[in-house]
Amino acid sequence: MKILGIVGSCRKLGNTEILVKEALMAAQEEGAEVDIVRWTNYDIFPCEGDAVCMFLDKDCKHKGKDGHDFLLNMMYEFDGVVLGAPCYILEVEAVIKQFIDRLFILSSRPSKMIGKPAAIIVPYATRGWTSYAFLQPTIVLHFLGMHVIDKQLIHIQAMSETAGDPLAREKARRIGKEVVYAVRSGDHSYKGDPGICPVCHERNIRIMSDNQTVECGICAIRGRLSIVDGKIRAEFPQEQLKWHRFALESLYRHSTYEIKPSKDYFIRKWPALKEQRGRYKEFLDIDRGAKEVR
Amino acid sequence: MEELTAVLRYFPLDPVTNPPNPIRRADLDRIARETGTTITLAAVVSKSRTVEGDIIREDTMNSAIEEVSQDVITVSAQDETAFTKAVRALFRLYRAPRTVFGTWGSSPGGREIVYRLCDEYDGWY
Repeated sequence: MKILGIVGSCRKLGNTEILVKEALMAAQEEGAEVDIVRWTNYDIFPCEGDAVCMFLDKDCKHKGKDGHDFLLNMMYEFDGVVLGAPCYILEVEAVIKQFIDRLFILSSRPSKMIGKPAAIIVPYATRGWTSYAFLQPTIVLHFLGMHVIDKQLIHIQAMSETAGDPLAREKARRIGKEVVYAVRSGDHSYKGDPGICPVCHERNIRIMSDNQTVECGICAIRGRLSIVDGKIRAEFPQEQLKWHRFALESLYRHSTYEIKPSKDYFIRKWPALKEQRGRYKEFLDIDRGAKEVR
Repeated sequence: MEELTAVLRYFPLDPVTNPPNPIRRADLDRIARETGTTITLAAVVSKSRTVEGDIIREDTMNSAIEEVSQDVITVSAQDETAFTKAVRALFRLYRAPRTVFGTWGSSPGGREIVYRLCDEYDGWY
């Protein structure tokens, strides 16, 4: 059994690295083979949205020029993942989002992480500044088809402070052990805060424009809120849970009926658009000086 | 006066994103009658589509938009008010189509009204 620790933080021996390593130490003690990678050591160029990976079944133009393909294939060699990233301004470090955007490639080359367990560790400094801390880590793991079995926010301030914080380290160790147990037993039940959404366990619920319906913005399941004994209760029909956004069949149908037919749309629209966009080409030079500054 | 036409394409998405109500001829007839518009329904089933329980498989990569499996509701009217009422009633029942190409085939004037009505409910609800 192989467990991979992913660190989405630039900081050497910072809290994220220490916590992920602590989780891996515990996993190793449970008999797992472990390894670690720091995603921020690799360039991940922005997806250019031309969808050639899907429409033309070609490799991404960045393949071999940045680290995305390498990092994705590295994950594929593991049975479980511990993903750590620090929460800065409401969300975790941007490398996670950069990685997500390039996962369009999965539409033509399916994920090899489907059904594998993962857990998330997010160290943060200030209470009240973590509203979307789990958002990107949850999306990336769900999009890969993984089962998130736990998520832990760890309150910590000073650089490397977790090294001397038994409580923080214990939380991380528990995560490591849980992932090993999940791989070994096949029991991928969720161990963290149950949250509001029964699928992703987040608490970020959107109130839709009809002011009646609520939706988990991550999973896209829809339901209603009620107040029972003074407490807010969110209820989602069972059918919704089965068909959440990241269910494999939902993703298949999204790709089949919402993305792929747009190839025909582009082809039909292109002759007219090619001419119409000409007037924007000469209006202001958006790229001037960019190379020199970079 | 230009005849306004809205072509609303509902693709076989998952039950969560599909119209919350099944598209029924009787509902379309009622809306047409109440608004004084013409509403037709056509079902397209691609030759490549297979269905096994919840599992749908279809090769849509090189298909024309019109050949992909879908239910197509077409609304036509000369009168803008009637047309608007009909499209709004359809969106309340079935939600708006999700994609830009989900209105492919609409007349320019019809498409403009459809887009405005989509935005009334956040584009999707």
